[in-house]
Amino acid sequence: MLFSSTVFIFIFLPVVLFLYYTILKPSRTLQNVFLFIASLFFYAWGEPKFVFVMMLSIVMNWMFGILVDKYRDTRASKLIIVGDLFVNLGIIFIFKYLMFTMENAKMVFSGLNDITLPVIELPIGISFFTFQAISYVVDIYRKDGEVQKNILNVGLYIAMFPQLIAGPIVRYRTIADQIKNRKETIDDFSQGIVRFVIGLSKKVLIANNMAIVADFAFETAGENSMLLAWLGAIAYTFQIYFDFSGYSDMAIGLGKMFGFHFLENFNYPYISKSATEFWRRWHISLGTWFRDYLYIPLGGNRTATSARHVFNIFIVWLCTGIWHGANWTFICWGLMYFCLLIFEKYSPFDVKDEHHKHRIIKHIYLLFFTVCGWVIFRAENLPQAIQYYGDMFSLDSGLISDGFIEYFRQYAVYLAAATIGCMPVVPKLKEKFGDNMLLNILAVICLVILFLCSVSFIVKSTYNPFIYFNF
Amino acid sequence: MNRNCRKILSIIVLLVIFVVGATTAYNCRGTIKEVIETHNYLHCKSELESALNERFQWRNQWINVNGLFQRCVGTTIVRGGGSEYDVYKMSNGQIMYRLPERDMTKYAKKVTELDRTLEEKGIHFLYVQLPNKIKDNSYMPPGTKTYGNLNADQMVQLLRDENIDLIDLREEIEAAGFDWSSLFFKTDHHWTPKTGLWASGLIMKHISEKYGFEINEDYYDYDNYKSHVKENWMLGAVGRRTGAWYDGLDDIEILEPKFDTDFSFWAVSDAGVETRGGNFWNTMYLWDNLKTRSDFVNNSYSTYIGKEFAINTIKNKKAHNGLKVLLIKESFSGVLMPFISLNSEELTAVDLRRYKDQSIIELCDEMQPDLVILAYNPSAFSMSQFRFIK
Repeated sequence: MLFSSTVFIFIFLPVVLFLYYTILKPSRTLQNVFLFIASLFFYAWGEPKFVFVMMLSIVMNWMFGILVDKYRDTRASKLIIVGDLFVNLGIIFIFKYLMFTMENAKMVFSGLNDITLPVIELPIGISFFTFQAISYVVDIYRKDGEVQKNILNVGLYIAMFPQLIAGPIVRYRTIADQIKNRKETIDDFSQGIVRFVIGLSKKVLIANNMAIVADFAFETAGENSMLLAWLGAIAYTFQIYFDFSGYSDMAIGLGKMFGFHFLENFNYPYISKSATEFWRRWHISLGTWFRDYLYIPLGGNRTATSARHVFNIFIVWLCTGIWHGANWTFICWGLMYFCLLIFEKYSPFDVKDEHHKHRIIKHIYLLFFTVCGWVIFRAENLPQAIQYYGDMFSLDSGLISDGFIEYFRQYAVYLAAATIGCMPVVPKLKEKFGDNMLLNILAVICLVILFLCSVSFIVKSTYNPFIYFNF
Repeated sequence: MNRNCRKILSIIVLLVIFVVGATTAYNCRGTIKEVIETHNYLHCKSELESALNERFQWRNQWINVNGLFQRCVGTTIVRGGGSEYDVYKMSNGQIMYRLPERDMTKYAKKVTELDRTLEEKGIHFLYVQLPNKIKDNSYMPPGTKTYGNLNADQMVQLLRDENIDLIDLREEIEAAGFDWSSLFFKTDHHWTPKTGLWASGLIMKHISEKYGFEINEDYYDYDNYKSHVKENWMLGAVGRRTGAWYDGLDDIEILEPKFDTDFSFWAVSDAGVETRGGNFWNTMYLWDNLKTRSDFVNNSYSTYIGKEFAINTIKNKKAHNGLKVLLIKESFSGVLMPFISLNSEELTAVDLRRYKDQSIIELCDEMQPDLVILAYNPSAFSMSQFRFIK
């Protein structure tokens, strides 16, 4: 079920809110059971058959959690962790990477050509709920959270609908206590609504409109004029940010409506001045997951040699790329960031620039590579990415075209809104004007208008994909 | 945002969600009941979603809101989920779909075959090229192109090369010095009834001069009609995609002859056979289509004749010129049929999108018309509408 759909906003959400805050109000256990069942329904609405994959994941990780807790501080616990990783990564490998692996293996080993695999569909959000499941068992092992004896609580943590299919990847230690001891308040609830409306507007009004421009440019890769290619790449840069951060806003907002506090997932990433900073601001939950569950266990930056440090970073970025999908485009995109981070760490780039002399140059550097990176990320395959880069950096199809004029003219307002939305304008306004009544009233009016306009787009059923569902 | 403002916003949002949600669920109760009764839980998703979208509470008002938003941000191409559904706002303020470029050779070949076959049977044939609302690309938003009239240019040239009798109404419009935009509705792709009256006059004059049928030209004088105008009333087919707040509403004019008329009308639609009769006022109009202002379901344009029938026949009891016409038509003929029938003893109109019983040739063998008119606007250029012989 999409958050930005009529069925979610006008049927599912009001029913769940009503039952949660009326009939089920007296019992936290009943509320949790209900949220879990509602989450399964939410998932099954789009993927009825894959709900069993998720349930299998819940059962297995609940068992591993109990075993890790039981054999804590013994040798067996390490074996259990290995077993847990094997099962979780095995599930994700079969559904997400097996076909890709076989296709590539066949290119290398001709003997494998006779093997045919059935087409394996990708369960929606598998990378998100699998990473949360791993987090659950590992956090118990590390004593960062208490084991849940009740399988429904594990189910609720892994399957909770706000963050189930497109994150943020909620760490077990973040909400371990909230599962039983959260407190719903009117203040949190209203903050949740505000956040949900902001996220919905980002997704429906900006991301969906930017998607039209990006899709047009990528469909005609190899034939785009230079300006159209850049327009398409910039539009995709905005699309992916407003799509994913919009979803995260909605998830965080929905969590707050039910008393959960998830950590932030984005912090104005496009204002960064280095790749290192970008990844501290972009998909924070994924970055910190890899840091805590991969980079640090590998040794992090406390290594004997630089080569080992480089290797650790390489593994993290290879995995980050692969996590996004079984395609060489994602691997290349991940490795591009590996190269940038190594450059930043092992060159004078990272020397303290106290007077911010190079601030603008660094910002342009980051934006250039980010936009170019999104091209390979968006491309269907490497040849299409190369064709698209050809459009961006050559004048073979001319500088300007009708397509550019049409799309730039039509989406200039959205591009301007997206540019402003990428910058911390609202926090700056708050800082400057404080708790100004007039601004507050203006904000309410603006958000009501944005909400109504977003609903109007949803009702009109125009273009509405969610990019991060694929991961 | 401070706490009180957040609370106010929350109340508004919750109110919208709960009221719209509850009323929409109520509107969809039939589908929900059906799913429960048939235990069709595994496959109910698409049914429920489509019911929800179709019966969404205040659906048309939401589309109006969307139109207003698009208007405010200056959108001149309103996306509709596929290029054929995109709506373009032209520099003259009208809205329209865009038509793709087509090779007209195969269509011209079909028309030529029809002409030759009818000639063998001693039946006259006339091709009438109706205009497209977008005169040329200078009216389109920057960077966009439409090919309606360019395709029609190609068609006319190919038919002229084959010496087929034709009237290109676009040339007639130019010759008459009309303002092209004023001939069409703002929110609908069709031409206005007044334009239809003028075009019918031209067609009938051509028939009279070329084939020798006697006609009364006074029937095509606008002054011989009493005009009834519903102002700011009609939301056209294009406007229904954008909502009324994007480009407003059109006036719709109903023409009442000042002279005596007497007709009988017979038609076949999906709903079955329909008959009417009496004077022009009672025969040519379906008043249900004019009941509601800004109607998202019924097009006020369809007040003329009523529906897009598969086949319909109008007999004029006052005409005695012996003219029997078979009109191969699309929706533009909605405002041609009433006026052509004024000078025809019998007019049968066939819509090949809906009529599948016989080929045109078989139909001609059966009804033996004096003349076959093929009147298409450029958006009708698709093979399903060129199945004339088999």
